[in-house]
Amino acid sequence: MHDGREEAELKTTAMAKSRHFFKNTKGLYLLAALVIVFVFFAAINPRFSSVNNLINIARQMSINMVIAVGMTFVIISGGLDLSVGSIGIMCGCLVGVLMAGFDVPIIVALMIGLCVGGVVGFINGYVIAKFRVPPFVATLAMMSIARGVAIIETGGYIISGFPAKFNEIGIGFFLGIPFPVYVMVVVVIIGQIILSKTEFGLNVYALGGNERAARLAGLKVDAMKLKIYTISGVLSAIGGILLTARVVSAQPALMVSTNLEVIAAVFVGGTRMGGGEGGMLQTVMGAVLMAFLFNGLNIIGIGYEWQQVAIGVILIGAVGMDMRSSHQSI
Amino acid sequence: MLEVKDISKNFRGVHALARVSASFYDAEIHGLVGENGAGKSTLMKIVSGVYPPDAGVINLDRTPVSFTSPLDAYNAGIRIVHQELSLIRSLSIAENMFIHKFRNAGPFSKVGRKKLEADAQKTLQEWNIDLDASYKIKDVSMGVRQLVEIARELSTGGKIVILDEPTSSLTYKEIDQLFGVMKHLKQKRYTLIFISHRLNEVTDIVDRITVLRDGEVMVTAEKKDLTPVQMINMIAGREVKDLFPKTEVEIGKTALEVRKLSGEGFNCLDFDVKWGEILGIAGLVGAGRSELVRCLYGINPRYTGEIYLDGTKVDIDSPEKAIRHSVGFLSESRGIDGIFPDMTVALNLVILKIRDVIKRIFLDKKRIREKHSRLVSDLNIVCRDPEHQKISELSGGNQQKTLFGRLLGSQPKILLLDEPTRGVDIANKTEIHKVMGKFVKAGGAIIMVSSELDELIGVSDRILVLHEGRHVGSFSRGGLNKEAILLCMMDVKKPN
Repeated sequence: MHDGREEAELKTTAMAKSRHFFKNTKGLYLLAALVIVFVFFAAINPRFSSVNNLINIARQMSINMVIAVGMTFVIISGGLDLSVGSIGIMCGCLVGVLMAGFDVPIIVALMIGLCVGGVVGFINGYVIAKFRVPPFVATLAMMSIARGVAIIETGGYIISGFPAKFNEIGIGFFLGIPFPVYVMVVVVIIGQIILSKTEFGLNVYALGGNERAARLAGLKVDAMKLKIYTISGVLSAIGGILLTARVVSAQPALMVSTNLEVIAAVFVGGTRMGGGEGGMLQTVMGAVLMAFLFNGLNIIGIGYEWQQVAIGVILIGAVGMDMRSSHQSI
Repeated sequence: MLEVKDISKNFRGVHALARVSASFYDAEIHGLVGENGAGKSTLMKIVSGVYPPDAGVINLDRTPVSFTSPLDAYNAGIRIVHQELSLIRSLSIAENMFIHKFRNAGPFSKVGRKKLEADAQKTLQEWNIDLDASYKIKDVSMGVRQLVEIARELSTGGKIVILDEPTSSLTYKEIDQLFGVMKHLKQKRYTLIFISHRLNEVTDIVDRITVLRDGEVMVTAEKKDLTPVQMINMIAGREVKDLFPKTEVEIGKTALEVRKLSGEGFNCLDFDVKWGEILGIAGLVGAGRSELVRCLYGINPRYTGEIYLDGTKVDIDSPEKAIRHSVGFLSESRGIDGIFPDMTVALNLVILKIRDVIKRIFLDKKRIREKHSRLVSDLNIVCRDPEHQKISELSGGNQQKTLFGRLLGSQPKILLLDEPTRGVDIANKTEIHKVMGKFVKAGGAIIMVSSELDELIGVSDRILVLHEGRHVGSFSRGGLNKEAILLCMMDVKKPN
């Protein structure tokens, strides 16, 4: 009897929880949009829903998704990071140059690349927390700096000739699934746990919800910003390294629009600009929706220019709907 | 004349207003009082076209009107002056007063500043306010801002002006100024509806009073026919014997001592507070009261002087350090400094000293539930479901109780409270005072800043009076005399 009641109670809280998720996140709409887009493309071209293509989509979205995990932290905390693409390619190129030009062992080169990503992210956080430079400006500056450094590292050339083992990171498979997909899944899971289950994650929401109240409640706001932008830097570096391995060369001109694609995925997922609300699962759905669109439009033969148009429309549609449903009358 | 008749309104099956009837005459100042959630705001929102009523009619000058949007009510001359002012800080008084004239201005239209300033100046003069209309809003006091807001509503054809808690952030002098203007407007046959929690102010200024409780009109009466005690009983729905219940507590040793403390807004203060004691800080706006408690909590910098906790010198230079020394702080601005609007009531309750509900690095759901349910019942916080309801959905009084719960949940020994009951209705106010009494009875110490002298006198064991950052007087319980404290706050008695 006891068990029965407990079970019923669990059930109702679980129901309340799922209701809560959908009510507050518009997750249901997003899920519906995902299904519609999926069915739409699959109906036009069955190749879209083939297992091979789905794996392909997962690979295509993996790099942006890894970076979007960091961006979700940044945006929920009330910030923004425009420098993710530049930091990513800067670290990717650095790792490439170290291996191809200086014969640095893969592991060491990878470590250096990740550390540099972290340091650059830390600098972002430092400028934002200590000098009180708005995140938009600070990371806009870093976007330019890191891009410049990437070009300096490679001398403006495309550099290749990495050890084959390194390239495997980008192009290799394990059990039939591309390696970057594993990286993505691990990063997403860790990100989700940190964001939803730990003190740090809760503090990120608090910081984005009301920074002044967070300070008064004794949260170490400045230290948190340092951590958040460092995380974003490291994840950007992972993304850049994956891409460098994927294209088997260090190309400083890549990842130019990564920042906007990633930010768009986070917003489409329903995380709110200005912070305080949002979540990792929402970002995942946003990223999947964007990946469906890119891939699906390709498959049905619609070119890059229209993909860009579609992304813009989706972004306005998603955020516009979000704003309308939580509209504040004045 | 504005008349509402049998107005009812339900929200999701809960009645917010039930057959409310009242009339607001021309040339009248009409007080509207009631607890938070009694239906004052709902009624005013219906009158100003924000919500349609479920039933009932609104008559304007004896003609039925139906507002389908706030714009309809606006065009009919009904205006609300909100607590949060909607002025543009970087523009002048004159420009703000006549901002509607720019509405259709093209990029090259002439603003005609001279004419505007002359018109604005005329209004200011009529209202007995000695101020240049070309001053920027950001450079004038809250009181003047409020008046500019009122002037703007009138200049755009407002006839019925609803003042929602207009005095809550004003100084005594500014309140006098506001009341002067209100009387002047009454003579000009405007209808003014005055919503306030401060009953003594209401009885000062209004002609008639309507008391709302639980969405129903308790009474509408001439001011002279209603004693304050009757009014309070009708508002609260029960006999409130003692407005400020004071728990008798034994006073212990010195808890916190301050020597020669100077900081932004105050100078060279010496005082102490003992365990079991509530020390009230009185003073006019700008006396340095908030600055003092903010400095003690490590938000504002300390210039010189020493702070001793339990006899030991401490160096508190950040809120985080204050918390580590078991000092808690409640800010005067609940919305800006206090709540995390997007988070649930439960998380808002536990976020201070979050370590208590952490197991290794993970949030421990069980401990969170234990802690928040204890606090919810201790403080009698009224909410549907603390784990899913956002704090921003609660009423002001319950938000404040939640913040209080957050503080108490961190088990502080000393509380610094800046206007702990501002904008809180009477019943919740009393509850907060009781919680404060319980806290000092358990051995804590409280320093409380309040602009409400009655509250300070009712609750404090001692009162410290500040004037322009200086300590100008002290009063002990027993010798708490309102007049004397007021004079002291204004620094009149001291010849110096």
